[in-house]
Amino acid sequence: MLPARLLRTSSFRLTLAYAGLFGASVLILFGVIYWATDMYITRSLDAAIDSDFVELGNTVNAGGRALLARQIHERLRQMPRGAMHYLLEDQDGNVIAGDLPRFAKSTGRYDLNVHEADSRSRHQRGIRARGAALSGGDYLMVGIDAHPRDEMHELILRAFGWGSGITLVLAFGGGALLSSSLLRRVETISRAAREIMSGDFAQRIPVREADDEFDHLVTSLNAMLDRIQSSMESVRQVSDDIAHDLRTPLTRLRQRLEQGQRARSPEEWHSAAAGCIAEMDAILETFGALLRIAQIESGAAVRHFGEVDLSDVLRTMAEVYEPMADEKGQSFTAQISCGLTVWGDRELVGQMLANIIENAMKHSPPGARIGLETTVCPTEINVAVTDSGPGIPADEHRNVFSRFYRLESSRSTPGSGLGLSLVEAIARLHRVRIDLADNDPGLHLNLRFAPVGAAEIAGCTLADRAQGT
Amino acid sequence: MFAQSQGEARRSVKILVIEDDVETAEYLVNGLHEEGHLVAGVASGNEALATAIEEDFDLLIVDRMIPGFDGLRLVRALRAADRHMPVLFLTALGGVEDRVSGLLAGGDDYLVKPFAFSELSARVAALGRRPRAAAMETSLRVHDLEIDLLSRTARRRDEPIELQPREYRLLEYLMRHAGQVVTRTMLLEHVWDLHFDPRTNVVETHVSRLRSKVDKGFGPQLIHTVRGAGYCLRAPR
Ligand SMILES: Nc1ncnc2c1ncn2[C@@H]1O[C@H](COP(=O)(O)OP(=O)(O)OP(=O)(O)O)[C@@H](O)[C@H]1O
Ligand SMILES: [Mg+2]
Repeated sequence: MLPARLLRTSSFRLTLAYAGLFGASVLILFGVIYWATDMYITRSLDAAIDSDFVELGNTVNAGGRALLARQIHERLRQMPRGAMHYLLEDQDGNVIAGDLPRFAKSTGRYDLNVHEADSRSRHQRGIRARGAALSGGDYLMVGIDAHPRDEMHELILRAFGWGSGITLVLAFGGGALLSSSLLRRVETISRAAREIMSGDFAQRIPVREADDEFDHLVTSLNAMLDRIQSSMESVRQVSDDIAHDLRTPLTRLRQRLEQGQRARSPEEWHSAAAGCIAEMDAILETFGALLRIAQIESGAAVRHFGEVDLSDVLRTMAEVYEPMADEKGQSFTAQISCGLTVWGDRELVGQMLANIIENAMKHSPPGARIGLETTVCPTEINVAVTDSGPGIPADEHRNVFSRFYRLESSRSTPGSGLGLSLVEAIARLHRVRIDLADNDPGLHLNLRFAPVGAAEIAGCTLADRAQGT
Repeated sequence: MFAQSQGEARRSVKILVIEDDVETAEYLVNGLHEEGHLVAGVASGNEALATAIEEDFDLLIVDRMIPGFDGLRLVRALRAADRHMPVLFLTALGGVEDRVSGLLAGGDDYLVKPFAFSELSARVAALGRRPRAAAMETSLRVHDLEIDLLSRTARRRDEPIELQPREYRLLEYLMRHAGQVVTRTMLLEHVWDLHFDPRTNVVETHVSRLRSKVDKGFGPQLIHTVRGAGYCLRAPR
C-alpha cells in the first residue's frame, strides 16, 4: 500500500480531520485544568500570606519596628527552611530583618524568582509575595514558597504532552488501518469492475458475508450486473428469434411473389397478391408484437401510468369474449368485484388480460369451461383465468413465457407464441406476479395486482418476489 | 333519407397529406384522389403549417415519423392559429405511447403504419364528415330502423329490438356512420375502447350477433360486410 495513495483516501483525510479536532479539544481541556489549578493554588498561597501579614501588622501596632524585626527573626528560625520569606526595610532601603535580598519595593501581590541562597547553582525558586508600606516609611514583604504550584504546573504539562502524543499516535494509526482496509475493499470492487469491462460479463464482485454497507453495495452492484446481463441476453435472443422465426414466412412470401410473377390470368394474379398481403400481415404482426414487447420492456410507458379501473377493464373483457366462447361452444363465467383500481396503463392491462383469455379459449376444446374471477385481500387483488382444457405441464411453466415458444400440442393452432411473452413484459412493468397452476384439468393462471395505495408500500416486496422467480 | 346518407358517404373531403417519403405520399394522394377527395401533399413541416393556415382544409394526415419534424408541434401551432380541422396521425409500428401523446396534442385519430388502404379510407370518411347542423337530434333513422338516443333503445318497423348496452353502442356507431365503411379497429376503439388488436375475430362475432337481432326476419338487410374492409350499415338501394 503506497503511503501517498493512503494519504489521498477520503477515510484517511477524515481521520486526520478528526485527529485535529480531538487534539484541539484535548488542548482546551488541559488549558482549563491548568488555569483552574493555578487559580486554586495561588489563592491558598495568598490566604497563608495574608494571615501572617495581618499578624505582623498587629505586632507593629503593639511594639513598633523593633518588635516586628524580632518576630521576623523568630519566625525564620522556627519555620522549616525556605517555607516562608520575609523582608523589612526602612525608608532608605536598609534591610532591617528578613532573608531576602533587597529589591524594588513592590506593593500588592506578585510573583518573584530568587536564586537559591546557599547553593551556587542557578536554580531559581518561585515565591509568592505581598508587599506593603508600613506607617513611618518602612516596607514589609511576606513571601511564601510557590514550589507546589510550579510542581503542579509541570505535572499538568507533562500529562498534556503524553496525552496528546498518545492521542495523535492512535488517531493516525487507527486512520491508516481503517483506510487501508477500506481501500482494499474498494480495490477489490474496482478490480472486478475492470475485469467485467474487459469482457468477462459472467464475473461478479465477491461478497464478504460481513453484512456491512460494503456488502450491500456489492450486492446491489451484482444485481445491477445481473439485470444488464439478462437484458443483453434478451436483446441477443430477440435478434436470433427474428432471424429464425421470420425466415419461414419471408420465404413463403417470396414463393408467392414468384407465383404472382408467373400468373397467366388476372384471377391468378389477384389470388397471389391476396396471399402475399396475408403473409405480409402475419409477418408485420409478429414484428409489431416483438417491437411492442421490446418497447414495454424498456419501461417508458410507466410515465403514462395512472389509476386504472380494473373492474371496468375486466367487465369489458368478459363482455367481449363471452360471445366468442359461446360461439365456440365453451361456457364463460365471470365473477368480478366492483371498484378494483390498480396503478398502470389501461391499454396494456387490457391487452394482458385479452391475451390470457384468448389463450384459455384457443387452447381449450369446445365444451370447455372458461372462468374469470377476482378475489380481493387487503394487500393484493387476484385475477384468475381458468380453463378446463389440456393445461400446461408443470415443467413447461417457465418455458411458455419465452418468445416464440409453443407446446408441441399447440402447433396446429394458429399463433406465433408471443402472446405470453407480451403478458410477462406487461406484468413485470406493472409489478404483477403471474402464477400458473394445474386446474385439474386445465390451466389456472393467477395474476396478483397490488391495489392502488398499497402499491407504494408493497411495491418493493412485490418486486423482490418477482425477481425471485 | 336515402339520398342524404348516400350523399354523406360520397362527400368529397379536402385533405392535406404531410409525408416525406415520396412513394408513400404518392400512394396516399393518388388513392384518396381516386376516392373522390381533393388532396394536396407537402413534405416538410414549415410548408405544412403555411399551407394549412392559408387554405381551408377539412382534414390533415400527418406522418409522425418525418425526421426533424414534430407532428405534435404542428398541431399545437395550428390550434393556436385557430385552425380546428381534424388531424389523423400516422404512427410507428408497435408504438405504445404514440397514441396517447398524439391525442393529447389535439390529434383526432391515429393509424399505425403500415396500414391497409381501406382502413385509411374509412377513417378519412369518418373524420372528414362535418358535424351536422342539427346537433340536438334525439333519434337516428336508416330505412325502417330507428334508435332513440335518449332512451337508448332501437326499433325496426316499430317493433322494439332487445339490445345489450354494448350492442346498442355498436348499433349507434354504425348508425352515426350510416353509408360509410367502418373498420374492425374503428369499432374496437369506439365501441369497446380497446386500442390493441385482439387475435380473435371479436368484432365479427359481435356484429353477427347484432345482425341476427337487427336484420333477421325484417326483410332487407341493413348491416353489410364489406370484404377486406369492414362493415357498413346502409339502406337498401
Ligand atoms: N390456457 C392454456 N392451455 C393450454 N396451453 C396453453 C394455454 N395458454 C398457453 N398455452 C401454451 O403456451 C404456449 C404459448 O402461449 P402464447 O400465448 O405465448 O402463444 P400462442 O397462444 O401459441 O400464440 P399467440 O398468443 O402468439 O397467438 C401456447 O402455444 C400453448 O402451447
Ligand atoms: Mg396466445
